[in-house]
Amino acid sequence: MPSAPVMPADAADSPVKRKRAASMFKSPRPFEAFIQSVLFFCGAVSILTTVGIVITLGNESINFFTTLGLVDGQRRTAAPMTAEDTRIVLTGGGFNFQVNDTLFVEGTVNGQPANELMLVTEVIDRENLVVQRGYENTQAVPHDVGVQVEKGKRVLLSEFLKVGEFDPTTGQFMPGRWQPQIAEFSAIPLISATLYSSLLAMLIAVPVGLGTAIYLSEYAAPGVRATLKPILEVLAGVPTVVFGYFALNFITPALRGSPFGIPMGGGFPLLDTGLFVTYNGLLLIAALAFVAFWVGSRTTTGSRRTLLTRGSTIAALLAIVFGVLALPDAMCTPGEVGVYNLFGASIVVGILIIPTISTISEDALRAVPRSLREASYGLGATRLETVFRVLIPAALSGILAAVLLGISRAVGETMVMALASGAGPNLSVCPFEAAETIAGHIARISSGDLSYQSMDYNSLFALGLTLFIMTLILNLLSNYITSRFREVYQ
Amino acid sequence: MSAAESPKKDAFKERLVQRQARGRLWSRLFFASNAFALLTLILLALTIINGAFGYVAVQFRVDPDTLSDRPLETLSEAELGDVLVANAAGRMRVIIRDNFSQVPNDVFTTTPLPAALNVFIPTAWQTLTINELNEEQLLSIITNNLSQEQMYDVVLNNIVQPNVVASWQFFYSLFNRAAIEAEMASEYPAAELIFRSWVTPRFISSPLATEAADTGLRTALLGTLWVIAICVLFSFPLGVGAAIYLEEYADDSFINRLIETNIRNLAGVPSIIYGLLGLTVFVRFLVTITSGQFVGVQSDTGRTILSAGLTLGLLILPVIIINAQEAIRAVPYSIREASYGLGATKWQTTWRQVLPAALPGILTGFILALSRAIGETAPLIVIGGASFISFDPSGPFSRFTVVPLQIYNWTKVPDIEFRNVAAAAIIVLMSLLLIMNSAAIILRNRFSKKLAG
Amino acid sequence: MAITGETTIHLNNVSVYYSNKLAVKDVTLPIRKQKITAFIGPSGCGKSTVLRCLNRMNDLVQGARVDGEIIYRDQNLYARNVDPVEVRRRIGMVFQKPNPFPKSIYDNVAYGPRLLGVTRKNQLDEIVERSLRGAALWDEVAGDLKKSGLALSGGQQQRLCIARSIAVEPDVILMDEPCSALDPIATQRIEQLMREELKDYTIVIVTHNMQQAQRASDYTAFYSIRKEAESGGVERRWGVLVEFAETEKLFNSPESGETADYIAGRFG
Ligand SMILES: Nc1ncnc2c1ncn2[C@@H]1O[C@H](COP(=O)(O)OP(=O)(O)OP(=O)(O)O)[C@@H](O)[C@H]1O
Ligand SMILES: [Mg+2]
Repeated sequence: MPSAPVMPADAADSPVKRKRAASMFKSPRPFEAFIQSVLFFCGAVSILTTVGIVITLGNESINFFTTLGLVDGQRRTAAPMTAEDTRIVLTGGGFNFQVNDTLFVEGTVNGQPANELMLVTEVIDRENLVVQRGYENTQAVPHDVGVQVEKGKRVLLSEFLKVGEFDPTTGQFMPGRWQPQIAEFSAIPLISATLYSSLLAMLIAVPVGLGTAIYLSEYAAPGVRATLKPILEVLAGVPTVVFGYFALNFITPALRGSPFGIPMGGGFPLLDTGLFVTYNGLLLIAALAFVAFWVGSRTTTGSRRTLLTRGSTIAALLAIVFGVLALPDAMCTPGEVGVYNLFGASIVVGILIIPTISTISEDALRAVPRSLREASYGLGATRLETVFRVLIPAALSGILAAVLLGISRAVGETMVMALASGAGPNLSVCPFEAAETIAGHIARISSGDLSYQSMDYNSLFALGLTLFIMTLILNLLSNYITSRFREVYQ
Repeated sequence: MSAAESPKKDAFKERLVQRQARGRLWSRLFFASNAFALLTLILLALTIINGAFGYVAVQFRVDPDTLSDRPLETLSEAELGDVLVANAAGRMRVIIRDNFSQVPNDVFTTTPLPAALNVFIPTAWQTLTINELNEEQLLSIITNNLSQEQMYDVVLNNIVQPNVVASWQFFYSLFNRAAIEAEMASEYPAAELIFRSWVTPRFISSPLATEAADTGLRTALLGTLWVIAICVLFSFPLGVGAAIYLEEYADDSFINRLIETNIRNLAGVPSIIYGLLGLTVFVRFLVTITSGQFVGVQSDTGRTILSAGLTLGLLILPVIIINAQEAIRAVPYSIREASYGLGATKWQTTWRQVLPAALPGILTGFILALSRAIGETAPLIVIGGASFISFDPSGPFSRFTVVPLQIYNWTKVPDIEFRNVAAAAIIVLMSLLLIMNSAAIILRNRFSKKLAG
Repeated sequence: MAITGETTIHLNNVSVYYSNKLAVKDVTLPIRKQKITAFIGPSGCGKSTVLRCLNRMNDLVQGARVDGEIIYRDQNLYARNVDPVEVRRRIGMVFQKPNPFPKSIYDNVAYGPRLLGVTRKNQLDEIVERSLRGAALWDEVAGDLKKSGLALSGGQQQRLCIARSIAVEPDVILMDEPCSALDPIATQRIEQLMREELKDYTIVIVTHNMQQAQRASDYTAFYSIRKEAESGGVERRWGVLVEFAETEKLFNSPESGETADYIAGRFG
């Protein structure tokens, strides 16, 4: 066994030796432990935030779906009643109640307020209702003079997600509506506008974002890249409220025909019935040209074939452009582009998502190992073929993650929608009308002074929860794909 | 043999030409994507310029040219004083009250001057009230205590009283001068056509007002500064702490993986959701703290600067953490190894080696996150930033408005003058962001130089 | 293996695992006091792994586990109540790639003493000078201690790292291929340093350079790799200590054929 060591420096006592602990055994380091717990707390705050979001949204949503709200304006006055009366005699004008309506009846007993719920079991006529007294564990009490009868309403999940219904009398489809003033709470118009605008936004953001990423990672010389990258960074740094201003003051006027306040010949003519024919005609011609050129290019050889191939590509692109332009014609009734419209706002959301998609996709493309590129070039592939056959498939998961993140941003984008897309939920396939998204609606409603007890207030949280769930799924998917993708290259 | 090969060769050549042509076409399309991004940025800038400058039709109660033979802004204080006495002698007491009074209006005329005013009063007037002063004395109070610029404002507001009755945007102003003049002649014959920049030093330094032509941005700018200050105090230590924890301390346990995933997901939660969170937690649940009641402030609203700062802090926390993690991860492992090898504890290594090396990266990431907070609007709408307040915020428990919120409010209003003001505010906001980002770059360069040399 | 003479560290049946994967198996080895012990062996045989166990640097690797005993001053370093931080204050380390802190030369050397709480300027000055002299660097940098450590040449940087580690007055210095990133002249300088200025320290050095081991060390430990086919065509490999002896003896008359093959360059 080793003998007691006499180390070289032990001979002379030194400041270092004096400061060093006498033994190698653990002694408590309270400061280290304290710091570690403080740091852990910092990390845990993020968990608390999530818990906070879930509890906040969940709790108020539960309130929204369980408490009985009173519907503004749906009220009448009634004649006094005893505790036993099962008939209400309504007086004055106002709302007409229906069978199965829950009534909230204000009353006083011995000068103390005593309210009661009743269920309408039969409607005799405008003035006379038969009710079940003491509904939902309230107590049947006598009601004296000046009795107020209000309609109570509880929103069910089935109503919240109701797409619409067929009117039994006319057989017409009545779409679900979100109109808190008259207690209609179908979130479908808001959800559909949210998804619709995200789709439109992605139609811009995905091709442009991907094209940008491919150009920057595969084509651009270092100098060009160094000037183009900052442009994207600036674009990413512009506050969304500024984009809202842009949507309202440039894009929409441009759609309506007067960008910068300078009229440019009569407005954006998409909704003009005259041009319906024009666009669709051009679409048809382009499509026919494409087919002709394509067939031609398959059957000819020589330099004419190159020409025909090029012609078919151009015709296909034109067909796509005219197809896109003709689309609104098919979906909208003729009229003007609205001052507030979903289309303009969605274009701008698309623009503001470009940096998100291009940055992440570019990272994914650059992460593809050099060897793969070299192998492809070595086999004689052109740059374009390398991009489409090797790089994009190899970076697909990264690109997919970028797109999902982009959709999630589009779904949650608030300011552009709040400013440019218009107020009032609207279930419509025509994007040139005003329509409100979930986020836009929350912003608009909460900018007023809301009472914390109102149904409106609670409804915001139910909508917020819907939005949260939508983005959460997208984010989780995106993160999952990203983490899988990381494993592949490490 | 060569005869059999040559058609094949030709076909290959031909295909090659085709493939290259297709390649060129697509490469142009890819380039066009970039051009599109550039184009939108240019259009964005032009739209803002379009709103921030342009002709306005101004109607004066008194034409400034009749007041003096030189432009008003070039007059000295004494000359402006003369203009004041000549044209608005009767308003001088009101002017004094508006500028210097420190007592309620109803007792202003009956209070002795030293108590009524917050300015120096000569000993001879110590017992007098405002009503006992003559014109000359009143004027001396005004000229002695106001600068030339303030005097000019006083003359403008009390005598000239300009009023913007119409406004046109920049490009329209440039190209359609004739149309504007025709409109002027028919609609506002008494008004004067002036080319106006809506961003001026005055716009930045004066408080919010209800009139588009008079309003400034100071109230909102101060609000932004206050909110950001709270946000920094809250989110910087928390964010950097969390990043240190995750990079240096956390092992691969379930809870730590949960924290990581969670942060990545929080970064993608829409900002308006944070607004709902802030509304419930800070504005309502913690109202005794956020209203300042706990330190004795007489207020019962949680819709304060503190709530806003905390909400924005939570909002940018994930971004700060992710950026800081990246900066910390970029510190070479060999530095840590060297430190541990010398018998440093974990915290000593982190504090003395890792953090100093990561600091430039952390700060850069932090400032970028902060720029996001500065431009953020949606959660503050939900929290209940006031749409109009005319008083400057005085502390964390004040009600507030911030610049982006004002841009939102002004853009919402259909009046074109408010669009002008919104554009001006956007220019101020973007300049602020530009300054911050330049600061980030300078900071980073300075730090990296220090580390290298 | 017979263990004689004065021993500073004694490894007893040390096995190391990374995430439950065996990396080194059953190493038993004495580290002789104030002598230089060299670790040689093919790449991946676990030389660095064993070395890093000696001052518990492996604790920093997630999932690393050490079985067996490492006795230093009558104390098993891997006993539960031993503080790795205190161990590292007594057993210093120099790494393969010179890794000075991005600070001045002075601050680099003073870092260790400052960690311990030495703050007096004159004491620090003295320690810095003594350490730099000890690492044969003083004459080259004395005029400019404020210069960044990163501004030195590779060889100077490595000597700075040696100076930094002797500033805390360790008993043992572990060196993991300290010369592999240096040119022959800088290498020679460091070998000379180990022989002269550092002759009172116990040194363990990992090297791939047979000549270096021969020139510089008193004892040599030769490690090698053992393989075993596992189901599914996967191969399991781990390192073992093949032979430990005086350097003279190991190079001139190795006991094991494997050792002989390796030093003769006949290793597959
Ligand atoms: N941090 C680690 N995590 C997992 N496995 C590791 C780690 N470090 C080393 N290993 C594994 O342990 C074994 C021994 O590695 P070690 O670095 O000790 O070899 P070495 O003899 O120093 O090789 P070299 O001469 O190349 O430096 C190797 O199979 C290696 O893959
Ligand atoms: Mg090694």
